[in-house]
Amino acid sequence: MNNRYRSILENLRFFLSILLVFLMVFERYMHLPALLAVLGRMHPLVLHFPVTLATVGGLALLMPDKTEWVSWARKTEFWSITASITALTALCGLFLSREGGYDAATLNWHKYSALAITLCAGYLAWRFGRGQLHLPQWVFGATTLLLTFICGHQGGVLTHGSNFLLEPIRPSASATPVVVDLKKAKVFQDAVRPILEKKCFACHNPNKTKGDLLMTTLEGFKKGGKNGAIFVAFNPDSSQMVQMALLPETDDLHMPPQGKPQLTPEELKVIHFWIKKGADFGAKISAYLPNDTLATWAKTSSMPAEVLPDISAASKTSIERLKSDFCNIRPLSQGSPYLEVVILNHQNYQADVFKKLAKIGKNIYRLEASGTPVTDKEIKSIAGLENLRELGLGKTKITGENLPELLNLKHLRILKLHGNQLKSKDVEPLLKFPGLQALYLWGNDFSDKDLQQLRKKAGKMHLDLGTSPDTTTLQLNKPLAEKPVAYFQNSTQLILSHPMRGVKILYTTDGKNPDEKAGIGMVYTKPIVVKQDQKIKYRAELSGWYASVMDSLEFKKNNFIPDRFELKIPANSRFRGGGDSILFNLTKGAPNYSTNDGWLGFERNEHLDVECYFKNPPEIQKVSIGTLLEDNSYLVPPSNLEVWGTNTPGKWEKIGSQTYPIPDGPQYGIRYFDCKVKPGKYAYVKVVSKPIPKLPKWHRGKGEPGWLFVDEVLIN
Amino acid sequence: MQKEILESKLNINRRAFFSKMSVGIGSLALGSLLIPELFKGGEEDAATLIPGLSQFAPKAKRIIYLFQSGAPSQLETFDYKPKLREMFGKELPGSIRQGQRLTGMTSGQTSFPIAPSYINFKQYGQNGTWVSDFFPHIGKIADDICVIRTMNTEAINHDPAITFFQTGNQQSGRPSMGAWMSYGLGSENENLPAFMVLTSRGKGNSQGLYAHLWGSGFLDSVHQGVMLRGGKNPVLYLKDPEGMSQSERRQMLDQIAELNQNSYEKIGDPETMARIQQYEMAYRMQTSVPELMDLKDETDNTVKLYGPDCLVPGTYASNCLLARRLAERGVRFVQLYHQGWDQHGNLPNEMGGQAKDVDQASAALITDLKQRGMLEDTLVIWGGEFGRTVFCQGDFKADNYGRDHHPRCFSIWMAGGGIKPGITYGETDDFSYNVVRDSVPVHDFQATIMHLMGIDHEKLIFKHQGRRYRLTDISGKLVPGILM
Repeated sequence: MNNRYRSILENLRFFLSILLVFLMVFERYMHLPALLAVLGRMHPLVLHFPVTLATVGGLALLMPDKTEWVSWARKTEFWSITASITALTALCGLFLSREGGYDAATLNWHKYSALAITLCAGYLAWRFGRGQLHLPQWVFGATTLLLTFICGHQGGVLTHGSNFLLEPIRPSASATPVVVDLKKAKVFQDAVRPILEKKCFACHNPNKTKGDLLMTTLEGFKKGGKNGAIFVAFNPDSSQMVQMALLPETDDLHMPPQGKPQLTPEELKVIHFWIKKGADFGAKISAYLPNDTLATWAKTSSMPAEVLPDISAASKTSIERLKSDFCNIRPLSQGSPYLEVVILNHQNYQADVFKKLAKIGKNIYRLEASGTPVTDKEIKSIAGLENLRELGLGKTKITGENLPELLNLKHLRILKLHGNQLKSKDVEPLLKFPGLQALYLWGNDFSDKDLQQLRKKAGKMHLDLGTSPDTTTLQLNKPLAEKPVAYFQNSTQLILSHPMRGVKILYTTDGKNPDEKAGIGMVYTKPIVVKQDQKIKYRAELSGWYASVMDSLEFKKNNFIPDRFELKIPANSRFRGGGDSILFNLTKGAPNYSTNDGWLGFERNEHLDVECYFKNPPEIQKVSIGTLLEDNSYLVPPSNLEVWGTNTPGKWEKIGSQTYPIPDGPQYGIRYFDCKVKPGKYAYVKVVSKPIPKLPKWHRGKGEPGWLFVDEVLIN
Repeated sequence: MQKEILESKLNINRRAFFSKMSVGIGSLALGSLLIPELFKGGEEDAATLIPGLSQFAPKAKRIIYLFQSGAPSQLETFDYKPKLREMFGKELPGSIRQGQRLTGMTSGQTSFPIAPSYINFKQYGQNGTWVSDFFPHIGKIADDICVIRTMNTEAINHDPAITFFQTGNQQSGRPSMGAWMSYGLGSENENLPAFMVLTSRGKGNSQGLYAHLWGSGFLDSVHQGVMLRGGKNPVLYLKDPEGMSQSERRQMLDQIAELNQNSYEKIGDPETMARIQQYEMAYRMQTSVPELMDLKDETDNTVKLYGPDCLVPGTYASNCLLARRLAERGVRFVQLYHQGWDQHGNLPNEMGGQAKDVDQASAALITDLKQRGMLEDTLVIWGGEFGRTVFCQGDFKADNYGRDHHPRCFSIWMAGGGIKPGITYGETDDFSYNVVRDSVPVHDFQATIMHLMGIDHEKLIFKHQGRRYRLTDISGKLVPGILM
C-alpha cells in the first residue's frame, strides 16, 4: 500500500478514535441532529464488520509468531482499518443509544468494551508500524477476542433482552400482565412485587446484584443476600427488609440507600402486611379485603375496579370519520378499546349519527346525549349498541313510548332520563332491567302516587327522583338598576329591571318604604325621570316569594359645572383616582375605594382645595361634597366645608362656612355634606374641606389623622 | 402537536449543524456540533410525553373548583373548637405557635388573644359533620361531601398562596391545574375551551385575582383558561363587529389561517398553530357561548334551588349555575373564584355576608349535579388558599374581631368524582393551629385530584428549559383516606 493511503488511513483512525473518546466523555451534553440519528440507526448494519475483523484478527494473533499465512494480521493497515471501523461503529452506536430505552449498566459494558477494542486495535496498528509489541502477540489476540465477545454479547442483550441467548434451554417466567382483575389479584404478585420493582430492582437484578441479593427472581428473593433471608414469614419485625427500611435514612444499612427513591409509608405497610400474613406467594388480595392496608393500596393503584372483557379496538379511520363538531369520541383511557361518545346540542347536529355509530357499536361504553334533541326514532339505533354501560338521555325529545327497547342493552348500568316528559307507565318496564344500578328520573311528569309506586318497584336499584321542588318561601333578589347616573346636571332617569319572570317592582320617591300590602309605592312600568335631588327606594315583589330587601339610589343635582377648575393641593399620591377631573365628572364613586378610581383621598397636611371658574357666573345657593365613610379604613367625615367666592381674581370673600361635629361612632357609606352660601353670582368659586386632624378617643386609631375621600363637588 | 415541535427542533438543529460544519475542522470541532451546551447556552427541549388521554380509567371526568378567594376562616366554617370558649381572650400559648412566622399585619402585635368563633356550629348528616350556622344549606348536603380539616400550605400571603394552589408553585409562571388537565386529558367538546374561569365578588374585604392563575405557563397556549364575564358580553370581542356577516368572518379567518400556515411553514413556531386553533375556537364559540349563557331553559325549581341571584349575571349563584351548564357541555375544568373572604377585621359581619353569597348556590350545585347523575363523575372542590389565625388581629370584642392569615391548617370540602362522601378527614389541635393527624399538604391534594382524573401525577410531565415540570413538582402523594 502506498504511503499516501496509509497516512490517510492512519489519520482517519486517529481522528475517529479521538472523536469517539471526546463524545463519550461529553456524552451527557450531546444534542443529536436528525442526520446523525440516521447514522445511529446504521449501527446494526455496520457492527458486523468490526466483529468479523476483530475476531479474525484476534484469532490470527493466537497463531505462532511467524506463521506466514496470517502475516496480514501483523500489518499496520489491517489494524488501522479494524480500529477505524470499530470506532465508526461505536460512534453510530453512541448516537443510537441517545434515543434511549436501554438498560444503563448493560449499555456501559457494551460501550466501554467497544472503546477498548478501538484502542487495542489502535495500539496494534501503531506498534506493528513501528516495530515491537510490548507484550507477547497472543496476549493481544486473546484480549481482542475477549473484548469482542463481551461487546458482542452485551450488544445482543441490549437488542434482544437478557435471556435471548439461553432462552431455548432456560425459559423465562411469563411476562406479568399489566392490568389484573382486583378479584384475581395476588398480594405478592400485584401489590408487593410492583413496589420492589420500583424501589429495589435497580440494584438487585441479575446485572447488578448488590449485597449478593437478587430480587428479580423468586428463588433469589427467597434465598436472600449475604446476610441470609430478607424476610421471616409471620414476623415482619424481625425481617431484614423491613428492619433496614426502618433504619434512619442516614444509616449506611438503610434501604433503599440515601438519595435513591424511598419506600413510602403506604408501601412499607403493604410489605409488612404480606410478611405478617405468612409471606404467602399465592395469597389473593380478595382473601383479605377489606383490610385497611390493602384497601388503601387498591385505591391508590391504577388497577381498574372493573375488568372489561377483551374486545378488538375499533378502526381509527371509522372513529375519525364519525367525529364531528357535535360528536366527540374518545377511548376510556390510554390503550382501552372501549370508547365514550358525547353528543352535543350543536347547530350541525344530525339525528342519523346514532345509526352511524353502529360501526363502532361494540366498542361504545358510554354514550352521553343529554340535552340534545334525540327523538323516539333514535332509540332503536341506541338499543343496538350492545356493550353500552352508561347512557345519558336527559332533557331530550323522547316521549318514552319505545323506551323498553333499551332492555336489549344487557350491560347497561347507568341510565339518565331526567328532565323528559316521561309517564310512569313508560318507565316501569325499565325497573326490570337486570343489571341496571342507577336510574335518573328527576324532572319528569310523575305524580306523587307514581313516585311512590316507582320507589316500591325499584328494589335495590338506585332510583334518583331528585329533590322535591322547594316549598319553602324564599326571598327575591333586588331589582337591578341599569347604569344609574347618580349625579346629573339637568335631569336623568332610573331604569330598573328584574331577571325573574312576573316580578313587580315597587318604588317611592318620598322616602317611605315601598310595601304592596300597605299600599305604599308605585309600580314600576317605565324609566323614572329624576329632575331634582331625590332618593328613590325600590324593592321587588312576587307572589310565592318574600319581597326583596329594599334598595335605594340617591340622585344629586350638580347644576353648575365649572368651565375650568384647578386643585390647589394635590390629593394623596396613593388615592388620586382617575385624576382631578373626577370632581366634576357626574360619576359616583363606588365603596371599594382601593380599586375604584372615582375618589380623591386627603390626609394630614392635604385637604380639598379646588378653585373653579365660570364664564357665565351662576347664581349659587348651596355647595356640597360627596364623601365616603369607612370607619375601619379611617375614612371619616370632614371637619369643615368652606366656600369662597369673587368676581375679581385673587380677592376671595368667604361666602359660606360650615363645621361638622366629630362623629361619636363608626359611620359607613356615601354621605353628603352641604354648605349654604350667601346667594349671589360668582365667576370664581373656591371650595375647601379639611379632614379630621385627630381621630376621637373611641376610634381604634385615636390621635391619628383621619382621611377625607371625595368623589364629586356639587354646586347648585 | 408533538410532531410539529419535533420538526421545528430538527430544523433548528440542522441549521446549527451545517453552519458549524463550515467552520469546524477536526474531530473536536465536529464533536462540538453535537454538544451545543458545551460552548453555548442550553436550548429549549420539547415535551417528553404524549398526553391527551387519561392513563387509567378515571373516577372523575371533570372538575368544578369553587375557589373562595381571600381565605375563609376555618374556625367559622368547618373546624369546630368548642373548648376555645373557655379561653376567650387568653393569650395563645407559645408552645402552640412554635415560632410560626406572621404576616406584616400582626407581626407588630404584642398580644395574641384567643378569639373563639362568634357563630355556633351544628352537626349534620349521618356522620355528624360539624358545620357552622353560616352555612345551613351546606349542612344539608353533609352526606355528599368530604370535609378536610387539615389542609396546609407553605405560603402566608394571598397571591403566592393562591398561585401555589393553582400551579403547584408560589411564583407565577407555571401552568394552572386546569391547563394541566386540558393538556393531559384534552377536551370533550370542541366548541368550548377545556378550561373556563368564572369570577364573582362578595362585599367582604377582597384580594386581587390575576390572569396568571389560569394561565398555561409553558404549555401550549390553547390550554389556558378562558374567562367568562358577567353581563352582556361574556367573552370580550367574541361577537362580529357591526356590519360584518358570518360568511365574511369565515372568509377572513380562512385567509388569516392561510397566512399563519405560511408563517408556520417558514419559521416553525408551534405557537403559530396554537393561534390558528384559537381563532377557530373563537369562531365556534360565537354560537356555543350564547347558547350556554341563555338560561331560558332552566326551570323555576332550578332557580329556586340556586336562589334567585342565579339569574343575575356575575353573581356567585349564577356562576354556579353556569358551572353546571359548562360541565354538561363537556368542559373539563371549571374554575370559579368568589372574592371577599379576607377578614382581617369585622369578621362576623363580613363572613355572614360572604356565606350568604355562596351557601345556597354551592349546596345547590351538588344537589343539581346529583339529580342529573353527574356527581359521580364530577369532582367539586370548595375552599380558599389558607386558613386564619385563632388569635385576634386588631381590636377584639366578643362580637367583632379579625383574623390574620394562617397556613398551618385550614378546612376545605370536596364532593363527587370518587371522593368518599359524608366524612370529615383529619384532625387539628384544640386551637385549630397545628395538624394533629392526617395532614394534607397542597401537593398531596393536587396529586389526589389528578389521580381521580385518571392521571398519575408523577407521569404528567412537561420538559421546559432543560428541566422536567409537574403540577406537583417534586413532591405530592395520594391521600387514600378521602378516596371512595
